[in-house]
Amino acid sequence: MTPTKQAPTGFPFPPRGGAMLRPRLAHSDFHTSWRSELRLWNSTAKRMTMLVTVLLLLAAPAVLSSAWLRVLVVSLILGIAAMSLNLLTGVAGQLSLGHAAFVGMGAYTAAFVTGNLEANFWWSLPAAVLVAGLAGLLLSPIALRVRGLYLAVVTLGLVFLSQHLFRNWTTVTGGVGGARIETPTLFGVNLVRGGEVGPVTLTQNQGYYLVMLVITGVSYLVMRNIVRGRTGRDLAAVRDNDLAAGVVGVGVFGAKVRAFVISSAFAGLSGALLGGFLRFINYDQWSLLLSVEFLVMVALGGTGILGAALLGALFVTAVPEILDHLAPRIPWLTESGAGLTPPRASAILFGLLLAIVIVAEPLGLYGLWLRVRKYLTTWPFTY
Amino acid sequence: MSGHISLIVSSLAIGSIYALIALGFVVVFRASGALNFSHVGVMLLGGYVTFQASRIWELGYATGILVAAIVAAGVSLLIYLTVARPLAGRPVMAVAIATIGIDIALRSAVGAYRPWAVESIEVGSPWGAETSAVFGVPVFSSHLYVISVSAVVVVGLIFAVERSRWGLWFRAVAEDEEAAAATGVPVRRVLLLAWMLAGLLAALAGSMVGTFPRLLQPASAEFAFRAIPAVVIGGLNSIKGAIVGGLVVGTIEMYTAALAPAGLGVNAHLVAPYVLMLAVLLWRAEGLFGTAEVRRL
Repeated sequence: MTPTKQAPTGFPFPPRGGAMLRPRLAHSDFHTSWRSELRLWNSTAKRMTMLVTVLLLLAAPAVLSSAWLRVLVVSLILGIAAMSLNLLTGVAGQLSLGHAAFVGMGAYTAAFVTGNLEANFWWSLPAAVLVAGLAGLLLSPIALRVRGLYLAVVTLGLVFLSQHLFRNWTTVTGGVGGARIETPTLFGVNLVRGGEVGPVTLTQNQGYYLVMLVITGVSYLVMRNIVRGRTGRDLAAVRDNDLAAGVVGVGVFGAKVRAFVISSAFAGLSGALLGGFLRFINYDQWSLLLSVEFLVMVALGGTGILGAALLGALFVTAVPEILDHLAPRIPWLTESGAGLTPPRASAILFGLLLAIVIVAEPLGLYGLWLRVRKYLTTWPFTY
Repeated sequence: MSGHISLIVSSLAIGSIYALIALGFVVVFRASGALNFSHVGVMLLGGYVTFQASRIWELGYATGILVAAIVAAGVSLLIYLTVARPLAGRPVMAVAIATIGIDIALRSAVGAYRPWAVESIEVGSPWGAETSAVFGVPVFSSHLYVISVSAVVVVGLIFAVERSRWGLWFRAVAEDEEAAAATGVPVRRVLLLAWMLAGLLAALAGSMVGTFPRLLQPASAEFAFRAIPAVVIGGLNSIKGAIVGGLVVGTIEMYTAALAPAGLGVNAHLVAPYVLMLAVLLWRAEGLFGTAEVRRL
């Protein structure tokens, strides 16, 4: 007769038994098992927040005008790129100033697929992922050779080189004249202009918004799962000390290659979607400023906190729009042309904000939230 | 042959400007251990302040540069006090990212100031299109001015770093801040001075960027971005490397502009430095004269 093994149930093992025995509102920092800490939303509060956020996002198109919906769509699109930069820079610690280049590659791939190849827009998404991912793969050997600041400088060079390519490879990119991209349609409805799907009538931008909710949501889940799994732990180890990571058996080369490929592939996806939404792209869009804006999104939301980059993206997209609305009422803000235009004013604001966030609150909005939460959960003993 | 002489002179001139900007990067890198991207914006500001003082206030070219140097040194000092000093002890990457932010803000602010940014301007140099003969070949006098002033500044800087007490302190801080402090080096003052010196170099370079045959416009900031390949090619912590890197980048740029086939595209000479930088980094990750980073667990 084989002895039956009694599993331990006392501390630190979770009590076995019904749900009644488990603490009802588990604090997300306190876990009794590795499994529970690794869960996607590892506390009731997080699950509730997620649910409310999703419901609010679903309700948004019913309330918002098409102009504000446009802001949401663009921030969802740029949010994918911001999250992927967060994976590369925040999680894996590889500072990249070249993210705009990959986004641009994705956009031009969409232009090539819908224009030169005259294919359906939806084919351009896998194509953009492939092209940008390949470009990331090509860059990664350099990233293993050079580290830290040198890597930042290499990626800075990448921005200028790719802009040169976008400007001069006229057969694919349209050169100075720019390129057109077919707006995607779904169920026979133009996603930007809207139309009727069965009993529902979609107004301007609503279709694209709903599609973007799905795509950004899926992208978030994919990246989140990469980060919380083994790959993500490898990346974090490489960030903290790549030499030490190598010593304890992390494949540093593989981890860096993976980080670059995954990150650039999602950047490409974001670029193709941006192209499909804007319908017209030009080489000077994919500049260093765009790369810095991605950095602002990441730093403002919270470096290393994937979802927070979405919040950063919303901020970076909304500010120029808000300033645009306010321009007639603020005397020192001019609406267009020379002088302090909304884009320039927001660039000044973003630049200062990037520096302030880095100096004062390295975890960005997420860090602020942590402080608030700490204050609330430890009240009245908040020292 | 005459074509080559004028090409060499203009390569040297533009290379000297790159070398001056690169020196500013290197001085701050050695002092604070970080790449100071705001140097780009400070250079642009320096160029425009030169314009403001020399042409709008009509103080003349030399005084204009002096005013710009003071302003730029002040701004650079301010950036050090508000960004680099609070970030001391944090990863160097933090300083790099924060200064990128400062740079974007500074450049956008300059670009938004109407009297400066509406059209391309010349900062008010006295030579105009005047030429001098070098080996019988006419070249712009301003090229000769740029080359000689840069040479004097570079030699003076090397002399100061190698021979003066402050130079010794600077090298000590660059090597090991704590050890330097322990032996009585006024580390904070050395750092202050290094950042101010970088601002000064930026202003001088900015004024040269706006000197005929070049014109100053907000996009001129790319001059300073192209000096980053110069720094990297030479090695981030090497003064000698910055000078060699600057001259190499200037030469590559001018020769690509003159000789590159049309197939390379418009403005191929403006991206050639980055291609060269990639090649050098793949060959020697620390640059030509830089010290390889020693790493331990």
